[in-house]
Amino acid sequence: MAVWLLKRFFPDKTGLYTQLGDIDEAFNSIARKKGDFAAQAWYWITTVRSIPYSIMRTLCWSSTMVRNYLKIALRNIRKYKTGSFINVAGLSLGLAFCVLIYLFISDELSFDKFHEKADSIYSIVINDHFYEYSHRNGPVPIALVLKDHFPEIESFARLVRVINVPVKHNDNIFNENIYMADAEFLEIFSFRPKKGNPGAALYSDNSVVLTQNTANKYFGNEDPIGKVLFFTFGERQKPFVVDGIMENVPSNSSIHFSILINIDNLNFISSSNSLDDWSHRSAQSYLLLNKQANPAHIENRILGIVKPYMSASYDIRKKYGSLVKNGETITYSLQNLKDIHLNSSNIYGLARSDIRRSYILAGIALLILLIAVINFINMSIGRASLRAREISVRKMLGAGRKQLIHQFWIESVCTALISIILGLFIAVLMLPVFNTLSIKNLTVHSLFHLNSLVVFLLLIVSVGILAGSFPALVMANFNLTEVLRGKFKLRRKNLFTKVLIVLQFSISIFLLVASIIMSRQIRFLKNYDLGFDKGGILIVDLQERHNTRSQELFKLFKESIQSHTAVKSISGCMSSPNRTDVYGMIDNQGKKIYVYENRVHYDYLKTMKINLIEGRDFSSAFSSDISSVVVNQKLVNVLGLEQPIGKTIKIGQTPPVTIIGVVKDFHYESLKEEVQPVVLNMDPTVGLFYAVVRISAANIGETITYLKERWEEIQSVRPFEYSFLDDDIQLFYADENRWNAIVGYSSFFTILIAGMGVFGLTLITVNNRVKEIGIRKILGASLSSILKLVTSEFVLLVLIANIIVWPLAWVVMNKWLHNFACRVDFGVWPLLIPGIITTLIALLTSCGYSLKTALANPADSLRYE
Amino acid sequence: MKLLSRTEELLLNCILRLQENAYAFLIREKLKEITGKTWAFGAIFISLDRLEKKGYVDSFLGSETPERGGRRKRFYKVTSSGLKTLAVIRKIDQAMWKDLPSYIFDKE
Repeated sequence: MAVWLLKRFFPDKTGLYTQLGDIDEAFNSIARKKGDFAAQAWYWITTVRSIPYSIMRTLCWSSTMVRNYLKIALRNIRKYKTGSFINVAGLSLGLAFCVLIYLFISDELSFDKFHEKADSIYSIVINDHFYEYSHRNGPVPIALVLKDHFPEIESFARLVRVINVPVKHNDNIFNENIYMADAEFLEIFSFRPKKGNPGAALYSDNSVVLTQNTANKYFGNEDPIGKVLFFTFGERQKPFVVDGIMENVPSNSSIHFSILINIDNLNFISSSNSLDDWSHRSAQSYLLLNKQANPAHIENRILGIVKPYMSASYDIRKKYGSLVKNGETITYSLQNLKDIHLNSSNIYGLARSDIRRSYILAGIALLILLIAVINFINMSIGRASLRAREISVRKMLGAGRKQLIHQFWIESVCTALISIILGLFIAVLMLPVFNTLSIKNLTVHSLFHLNSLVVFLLLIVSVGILAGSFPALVMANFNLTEVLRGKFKLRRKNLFTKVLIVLQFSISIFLLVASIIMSRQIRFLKNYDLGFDKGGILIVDLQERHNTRSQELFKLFKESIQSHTAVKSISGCMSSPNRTDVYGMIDNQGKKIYVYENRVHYDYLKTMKINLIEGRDFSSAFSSDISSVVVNQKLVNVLGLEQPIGKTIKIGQTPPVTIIGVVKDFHYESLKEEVQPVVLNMDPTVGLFYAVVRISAANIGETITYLKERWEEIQSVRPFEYSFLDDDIQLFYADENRWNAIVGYSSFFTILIAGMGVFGLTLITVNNRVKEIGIRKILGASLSSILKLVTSEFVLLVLIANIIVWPLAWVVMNKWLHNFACRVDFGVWPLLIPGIITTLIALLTSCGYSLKTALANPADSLRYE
Repeated sequence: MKLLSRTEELLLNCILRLQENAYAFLIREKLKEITGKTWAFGAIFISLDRLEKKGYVDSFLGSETPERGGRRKRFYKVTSSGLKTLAVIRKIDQAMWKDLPSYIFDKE
């Protein structure tokens, strides 16, 4: 090691290293006198001592050279304007994408790290091995019990989310999702207080803590502290005094709250003693462990501690047969706060992200960058013949291989530097679009962090070196004498360049194929016949979740609006038509069949326009209909019933019910899922939580105002909440729409950059062949044959790229389509269209400039020979 | 003719003393002997290079020896111009010291 270092420090032209010999001799003499160890120490000290000086010397000399390189680099960039423009434009687009993706990924990675104690905060995860999913919601008392058992738990905070609570201040009523939290919540987590004393406020049962935005929503510019908000929980109302305001929750927090009240209020909102209730899973529990704690140790013992308390729900599970044999149905684990955002693919309860999203985005950005880098490489190699003389003279004057390579690196780093400055501008311009596509709230500020600057520098240097290396190697290997004698030819250039062009176009074609197939599939899903008429259906959330009370409210609402002419039909249901909330199980000779159950009201089929195949709809003429069901075709098929009408089925532990009607399969879920067996019933013990209203297409705005007025007449605590069913269904495909846009944009940019690359290359080829073209013209070549000469090469390459990509794209996109139960049959057009488009682009870009040359007077190009 | 630096002067002196055997390692040993200080190889190599560039010493390669890890020695020899310069320096030195009585130093 030391020897190697020393060798670097003694530039010995003779290669004999006589000086090293002297040192070796000294080493041996010391070794003789004082022993090996002393000698080695001396050797090292001598070596290390010489480092600072040697570095200084290198820097001093190289700075002179670097200045020269820089000058040449800038001159070259200015000299070949079109080429440099293409390089810079491509690279800056590629780098802009990289910058955006960098922002995206660093935001993803920053989740929950702003909490000072993030390292020691753990979330309790409940793993259900029967249904094979995990959830953060667990029994409310679990954390309390664990704290008694483990001294390592410093404190804990539980969060119970209560959704759709009407909150009122004067005339402002909004439905809010509120969190009930332990008072320690604000001490464990580092959310920032803004006004009043939120920490103390959370200790009181009668205080409420708001975030800044929520406070503004209710009180505008007034001082919110001391004001009173009325909360409605079911039948009961309770006033809360605003005693603290928090800063808005940062967007990179997994836990998002807007309103906090003390968890003891749980006993107020429900009749039973919910704080001691082990049978419901409603609380997220977070434990703050001390430094000595071993989370794995705690994790392993939770089950044993908790099991005795859980016996009640254990019995229920036994009854329904949902116990996993040879093992526990439910186990518990701890997850660190910082892992929540990216490592929770099967854990429900908090918003989470898929790490694959980051990978795919990063991949796309790198592909775009790669295409731009290829442009750079191809053009540098293309220009090599123009610069061959410069390089040879440099070589002749004693420039070493290394120096030449350095020079090319500096040129490409210069280009990259200019590009990233432009790229940053582009990134800032594209940020709004990118934010909508990635559902993020990224800002420009994060670009100017120290970290970002380091990353950008690394990016510049690595792109520069990557792009500069290939041309540098090609040119550093020039044969000096041949070039100077004018016999120079780049033999291997063509193959290498061709491979790179094929690669470029393969990437762009692939992205284009992907985006076309994606948009076809999405259009297919939009126009798919769902089995009911989704247009013109208004879903009104009654917001009352109490079974009998909700039925009364529905009745009131129905009576008050049914006379209006715009209301064509009205019905009610327990879970909204685009949701599946309740599942039952039919035991079919030992085989378990899961069915989706929905409690509906009269006219449900009529309102939704679901087609009956056999039997009849529910009717008030038959009082027995409360124990009858309407099922879908799928259930009939699964059960193998030949005469379904009048048959009885038994769902779970409830009494048997009679089938009175069979409907055509309708898609209540996203079309990614297969249709499952469906049972619609009229069970009077189950509430009607939603009203389904079919309205006429004319004057929709007026109709809604009318409904809203009627709603406010019949009750005063809840705001009017409605949505259109077709909008709700669109939301199923929001993710697909976003991906389609992302792939669409990137395919556009890749084709743009690759097209520019072809243009630049034609420019170079044509310039190199001006004389050849002139001679051909004189000898009688036609315009078209000259064009063919130049363009055929590129067109051929693009065709090859197409042929390579087609099978690949076909396989990958078929795999993607398998996410959907209903798939478009995309045929050959999505493959052919990108082929045609890219071929045309290659043809046009390469024709453009060659046309000019081909039309020129051959006398001009040949004059100087 | 430029004056030599003190280091260069010492080196030339050592090379003269070592005669046929003047190569870096032994020069360093000799310097240690005369000045009582350990010299860094770097200082010696650089000064030797400079002397060679100025034409005060000549160098030639010796044969390989196992002791040096198979590397050859580079021997140095003072050229005539080097000798002339040394002579001038000697003269200056003598002139400089001649009038100073030695008891000045004894006091300290």
